Amino acid sequence: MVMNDEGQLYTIEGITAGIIMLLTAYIVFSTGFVFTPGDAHIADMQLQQLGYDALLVMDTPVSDGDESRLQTLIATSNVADFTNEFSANLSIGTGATYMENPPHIVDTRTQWNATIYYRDKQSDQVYSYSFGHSSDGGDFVTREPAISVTRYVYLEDKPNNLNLISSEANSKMDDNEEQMVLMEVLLWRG
Amino acid sequence: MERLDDEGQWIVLMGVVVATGMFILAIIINQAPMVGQSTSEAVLEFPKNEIQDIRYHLAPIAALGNDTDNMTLEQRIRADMQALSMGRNNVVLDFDIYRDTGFEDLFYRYNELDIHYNNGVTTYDEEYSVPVRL
Repeated sequence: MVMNDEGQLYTIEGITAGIIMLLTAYIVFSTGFVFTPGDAHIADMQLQQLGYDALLVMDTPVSDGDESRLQTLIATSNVADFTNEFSANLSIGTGATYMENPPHIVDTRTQWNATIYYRDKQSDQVYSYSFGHSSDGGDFVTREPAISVTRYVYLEDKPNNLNLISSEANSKMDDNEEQMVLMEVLLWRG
Repeated sequence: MERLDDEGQWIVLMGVVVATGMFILAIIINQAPMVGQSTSEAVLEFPKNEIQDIRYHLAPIAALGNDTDNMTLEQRIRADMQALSMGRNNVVLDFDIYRDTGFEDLFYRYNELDIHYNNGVTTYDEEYSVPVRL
């Protein structure tokens, strides 16, 4: 039998290509995959900024030295108006994103829950009472994680009509004394 | 050994160029989402809004005068904000107000407001000169 030594370069090339392909396949299949929603922080950051901005807008008085709208609403324990105005602030869109019909096409899925925290001077403990929540969302089946935004609110007195929304807060907060309370809003998308 | 065919070298070269170009574009696409991701992480990490909120509420208090009522108010606000910060935001908060700095110009004297803020990730200290109309 005569040895045929033609095409040796092609043989070497074929073996090399085979090794490279096997190596590639090995690397691909032996890689561990961790699937995480990589853009979660982007949505969180935008939602957080939206919440802080909505609270800042409400806590900015029309004229310097006036009471802000947020102060007025808390000082009069007006949960109904706070709910409407905060929801409206959250769903404000620019001309490019706002649609007349259906109305508020932006952010109908943003839900929130507001709580006011105050310090009881006698016991030096922090207590809270609820201050409204969004009305939509009862029929949503999933939700994304909530983020928290806070804002300090300066009160010149114990809020009026406080006994209507929390009798505990009514008995613990000090009458005729300036104090600082903290409004915390949890925001999430349904 | 067979003869190597060296025809069509330009086509091979163009193939290499195009392949390299696609490889570089793939790297750019691969990195693009990370830009928004790391920026958002940085924004979430630094509590800008909380610090601005604290300063917004403390500046009017630092502008108050030296009498007993204002001292009582300052103590009350300090105790409230320290308890609420620690309770809800995990923040060690403290502030000092110096009303006898001696800094003044034609129209204003300046009180010094020092804010200390530490939430375990971010430590922030600020000295702020609050103008008070003479």
